[in-house]
Amino acid sequence: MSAYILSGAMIPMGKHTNASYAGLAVPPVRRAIRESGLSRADIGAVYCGHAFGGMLTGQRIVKDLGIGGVPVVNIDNACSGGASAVQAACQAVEAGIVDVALVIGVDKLTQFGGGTLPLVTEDWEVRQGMVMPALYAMRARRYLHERDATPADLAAVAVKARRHGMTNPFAQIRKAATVEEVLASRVICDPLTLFQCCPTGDGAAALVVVSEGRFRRLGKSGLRVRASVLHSGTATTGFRDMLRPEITYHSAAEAYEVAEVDPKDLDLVELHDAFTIAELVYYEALGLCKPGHSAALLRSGATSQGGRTVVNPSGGLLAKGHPVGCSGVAQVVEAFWHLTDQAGARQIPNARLALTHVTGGGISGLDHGACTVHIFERAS
Amino acid sequence: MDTHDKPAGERPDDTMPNLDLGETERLVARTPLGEHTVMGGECGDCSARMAPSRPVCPNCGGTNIHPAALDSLGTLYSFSVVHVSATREVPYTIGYVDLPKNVRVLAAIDGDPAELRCDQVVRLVPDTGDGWRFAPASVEEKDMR
Ligand SMILES: [Zn+2]
Repeated sequence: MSAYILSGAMIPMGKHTNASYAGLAVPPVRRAIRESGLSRADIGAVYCGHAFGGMLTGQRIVKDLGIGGVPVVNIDNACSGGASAVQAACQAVEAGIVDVALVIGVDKLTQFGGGTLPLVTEDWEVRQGMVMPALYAMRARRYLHERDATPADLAAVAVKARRHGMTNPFAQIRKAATVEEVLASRVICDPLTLFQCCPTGDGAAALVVVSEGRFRRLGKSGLRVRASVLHSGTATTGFRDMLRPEITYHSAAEAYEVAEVDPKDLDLVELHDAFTIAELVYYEALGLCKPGHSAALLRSGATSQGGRTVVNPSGGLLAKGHPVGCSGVAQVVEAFWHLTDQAGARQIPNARLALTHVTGGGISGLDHGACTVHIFERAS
Repeated sequence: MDTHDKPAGERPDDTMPNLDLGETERLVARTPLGEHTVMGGECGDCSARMAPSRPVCPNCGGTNIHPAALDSLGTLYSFSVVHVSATREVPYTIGYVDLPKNVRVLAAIDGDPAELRCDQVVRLVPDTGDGWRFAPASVEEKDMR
């Protein structure tokens, strides 16, 4: 029995300094419930993904809507928190434990006043000066060393993200940039420049996930969850190939196997482009191209709007924004809109299959702490 | 080695926390010949080597880890000059250094960043604070290796 996404909603990402966590999340939760055609009383469980909301974030949100009594589970998995909440909801629905689940992804990064994410200082590498952009910058440096690619290839990822973001009214950055402008922006962690790093912002998104029985009875259009995969990283004390992120390779392979889907059948992908280099490395890890062919794939236009497999039609984390725990849910909302013909100006015609991918966290010895991959199919 | 010499309710030794936030262990060792090397740990059960040392081996889960003087020369896998930090003065350069026998350490990298290259040989700088510092090795040292 599959789980189904019945509705989805989000707020535009940006600097919503005067909104609390509830202030951010209540509007998309209300709208997702309204669009589902169900009522508050139908919700059997709530899964709230966040990284920096503090204690009882989910309860602080749903109490304002009069939702209570049911289990509310708060999930932190860094950037993968929201998608982990989606996975938990799908698992509960598929197992028949819950008939209707509400998923929330929310985070408010403006509370930190900008700059890099605050990492856990118990970690040895963090104490040695590791920051998230440095981790990706080292990956980028290695990519430029091993691959037939130049800094302009990295910049081209940001150019595409911003071009896509211009068509998305929910995107935090809606301004085009040229390769030259991307490369000329301020250096954050060499070779990554400011325009190659996701912006700091706030966001919230919500989904209603229902059982197959409920979906059939309602007779609405939505998304069938073909795969919902969550993996954690495995520690090593030695060598790690930074261009072969093991956690994404493994998660994607499992998702394709469970869904019985071939990467070339995907119409759109929302992947974890927190930094430009990530998109190129994940083309390879998600099987969108052979290892070593990612820069050529981007140059070919196949992953741009109008191409064979549009990657990050929303603008991705680079342009849409990346309020950590929100992102995994917001990716599914974007997929939902495309697969239900509601994406407006950026609609991918006849989109049938979508994949969402988000990793989480930087910890010593790991590729990443968490990785979630979902595959969705248009259903009615 | 895990010991279970007391009944579980009488607080066996292996039920005490690992005080891994205490004094930083010695990070640099000196060989009899006076050479400075990275100080780490080696697992007595599976031979995995690691730096810094830690209470439990991530490779096999055992606790039979003893201190080990590792190496002083390694290769620079990748590096970045960090220009944004909330906690320390910028810019600073960090990189992953691969030591022989499969040990990777994150370290500060000295020298002109414009001259640094992936896969170049780097040597431990003896004057280390609460982390390791490496710098490009001299031509002779590369030949020695
Ligand atoms: Zn071991």
